[in-house]
Amino acid sequence: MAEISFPLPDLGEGLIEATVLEWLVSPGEQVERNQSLVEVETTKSAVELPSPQAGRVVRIHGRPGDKINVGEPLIVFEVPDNTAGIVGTVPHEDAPKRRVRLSAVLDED
Amino acid sequence: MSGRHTGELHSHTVEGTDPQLYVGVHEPQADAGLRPVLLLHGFSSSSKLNWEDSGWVKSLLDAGRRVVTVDLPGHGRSGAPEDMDSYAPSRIRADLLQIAVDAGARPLRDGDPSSGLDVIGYSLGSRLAWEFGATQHELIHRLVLGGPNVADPLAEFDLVAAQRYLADGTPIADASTAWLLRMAQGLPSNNIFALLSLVEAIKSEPFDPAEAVPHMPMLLVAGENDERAASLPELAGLGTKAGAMVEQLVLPGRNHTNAVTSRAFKQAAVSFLGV
Repeated sequence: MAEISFPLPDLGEGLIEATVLEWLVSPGEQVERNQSLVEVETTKSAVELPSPQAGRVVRIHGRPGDKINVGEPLIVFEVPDNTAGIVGTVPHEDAPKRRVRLSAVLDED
Repeated sequence: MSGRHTGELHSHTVEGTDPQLYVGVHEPQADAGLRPVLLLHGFSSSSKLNWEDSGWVKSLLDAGRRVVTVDLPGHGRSGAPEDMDSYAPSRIRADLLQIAVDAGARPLRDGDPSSGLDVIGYSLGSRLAWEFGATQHELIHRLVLGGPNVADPLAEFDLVAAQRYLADGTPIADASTAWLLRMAQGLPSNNIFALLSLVEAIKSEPFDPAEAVPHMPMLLVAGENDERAASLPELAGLGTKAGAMVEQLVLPGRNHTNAVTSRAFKQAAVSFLGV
């Protein structure tokens, strides 16, 4: 297993920080790619940040009310070793297809 | 998860002119068989900010709902018509009706859960939804009104001061006007002059919730730290008197800006509309 850390992403419009409103996942939880991780508020609006990655949550940074700067650690995932290396290097668009197949199998059960 | 999504500049003339409104239709992967949900954003916001980035569209799609979003005139990806009429709340309601029908909404029929239309509004969108519900009771099934008000803060907007400020930087005395203008200028997608046209049109048709009251079930929601939370009991009183079933929800610790992303708000709305 390997750990991957994700920083608070660039939220656009020159914003440099965001305030944590509420975490929607907790350490130990398995999350899917695109699952909503956390609500944050900027000076312009409030947004939900989707997960860039499937994996098990190891750590989350910032409690409700805490400010996090863009680029500072937001969340750390644990993922299988063989997937850790390719993150951020290969654009993957096959995740939705995989989800469709998974639910088809569940239906047969 | 995000479902199929099509968006287009809605083009269907209403009363002889094209409102140039941008409409997004989001299809769920697994349709629950219920009526579509129309989302109406607030002043100086957009469908993207109010409903997409905040996770609302995703929550509704996950619940199997078909979602229709509309950018108000001068907002988001909608056009910014030059004529004042395009911004009148009554005209916007006529445009919304056309958009809902074009998106496949059909009048309510007993025993048919796919008939009718559910509407969720926030702030100015809640004012439009209240009036839309009051005038379209044969179409609208249920309302969710977030951050609603009993009066219209935009009706008190000092238009002359705003125009002077934009022309030569003269400071604005009225705090509410200054705040609204700062908010409006904060987003590059806003057309500031179109937004002022909307304010001017709203001043000519100020909100009076007692004038026409919706009869369908409604859920009223506001953040605990939103001063508009105080308007919930009054609106609920009007609704109840008119025979509507009204539920109220106050979101602890939230204000007018950050109530939008609240998970409790979304869950309450999905469950309230899931019948």
